[in-house]
Amino acid sequence: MDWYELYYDDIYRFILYMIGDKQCCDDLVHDTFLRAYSAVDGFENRSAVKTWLFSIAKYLVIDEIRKRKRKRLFSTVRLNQEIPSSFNLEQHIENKEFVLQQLEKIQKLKPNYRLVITLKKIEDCTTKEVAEILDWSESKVRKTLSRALQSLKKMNEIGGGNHGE
Amino acid sequence: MANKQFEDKWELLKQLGSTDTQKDAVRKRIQESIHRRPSKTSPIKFYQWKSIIAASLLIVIFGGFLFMLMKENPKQNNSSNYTIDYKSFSWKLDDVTSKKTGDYLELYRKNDPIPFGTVNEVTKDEMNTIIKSKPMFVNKELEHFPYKTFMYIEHVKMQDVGIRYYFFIPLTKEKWIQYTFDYPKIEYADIFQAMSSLELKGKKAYHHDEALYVTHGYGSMIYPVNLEPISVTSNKIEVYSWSAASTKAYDQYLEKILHSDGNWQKESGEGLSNTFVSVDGNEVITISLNGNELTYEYFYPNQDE
Repeated sequence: MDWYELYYDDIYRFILYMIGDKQCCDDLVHDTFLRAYSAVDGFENRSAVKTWLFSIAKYLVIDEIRKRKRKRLFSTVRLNQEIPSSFNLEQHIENKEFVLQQLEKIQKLKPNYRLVITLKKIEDCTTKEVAEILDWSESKVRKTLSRALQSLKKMNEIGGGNHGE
Repeated sequence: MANKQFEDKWELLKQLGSTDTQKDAVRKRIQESIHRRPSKTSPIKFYQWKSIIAASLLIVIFGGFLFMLMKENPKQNNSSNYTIDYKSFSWKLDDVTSKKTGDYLELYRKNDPIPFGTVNEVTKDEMNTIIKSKPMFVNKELEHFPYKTFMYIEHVKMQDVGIRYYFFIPLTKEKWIQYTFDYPKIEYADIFQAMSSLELKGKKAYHHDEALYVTHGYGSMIYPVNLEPISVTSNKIEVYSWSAASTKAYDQYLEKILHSDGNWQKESGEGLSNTFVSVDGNEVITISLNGNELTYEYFYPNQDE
């Protein structure tokens, strides 16, 4: 379980920003590592373990988003109700209200925008790593990131966010 | 300065994470899942084959005796002594086959080797254990179904199963029949088509004399129970064949939507195409009837998609 200890936090945070739902986040973290352990024989070290794990997690979250859209399981109002108790924000998080607002806003972005913002700005992946995880060109990563940041900025302006970009 | 503020924002967002308890719980789940997986690498040695063959022979011999005994003393398929097999129930769901596996009857779609559900008999205690031991997110008694039916929905989140439906029907005070269905191996509409048309051999079914509608477990939109999926592959459009389709049935359905718990308001439309909006404004659904095809178009105005 070395990979789990090393990369749990990164994978958890990535899935959380993509899905915004604690219960589902736990499930998808479980599925990500289980798939990785199941497919370890086929892992050829052509990419870093972390990049490979992100690729698996990406596949799972995109699949989950599609299922939710199609099957009407999605409820944006759940987010505010679930987050406070789930993450002990009082104890650990500086500027809680702002973080929650941003988490909620990121949920409203297109999945591709969510992916690129989370990987690049929150997970600190390089453009090359993001391109590898998403199977995009580096140019596409840069363009999509720029649009995603614009979209988030617009949301913050409309919502009156005071931590402007 | 603005740039510094910009970068500080991302640093704040990086703080979100899970608790140690959560991390430990997921680690434990992964370890359990790994242990439960069938081993692909260890070959079965010859001595293991010998015991398997011996066990199989014993099963054949005792099975033969049992079969002969049963033939001489046929048992009635009544509710106090119920035997689950493919003859013990029927429903209006086509192309379903079954295979007996232990105490379970596994359900398959024709030409699909993966089972989509199970049927088995459980005691009241077993039923309660199942309900308590699974992460059930929905618990509901289905009204006007052929039998008293209790529905539970488990979030399974396995590679090929998102959610699992459980239906429990009492046979006697102590014995219940349990049906499970795995979504998305089987569509929602098919699950409710099956349960709403169920006939258990030796147990009289109740037939409701009005149209029956259900939510599919989640959400507040109601759907007729007698829908057969034609196309539900698109993200936003679902097309069903509606066996009871008629203009009158469609109008009654729309009336029912408007009066079911006040969750929906009519936004626009007339005739055979009408649009409804949920009271929170997050979901818009256009429902159209063309012949016997009922089409749902979904739109989520508050999501940036």
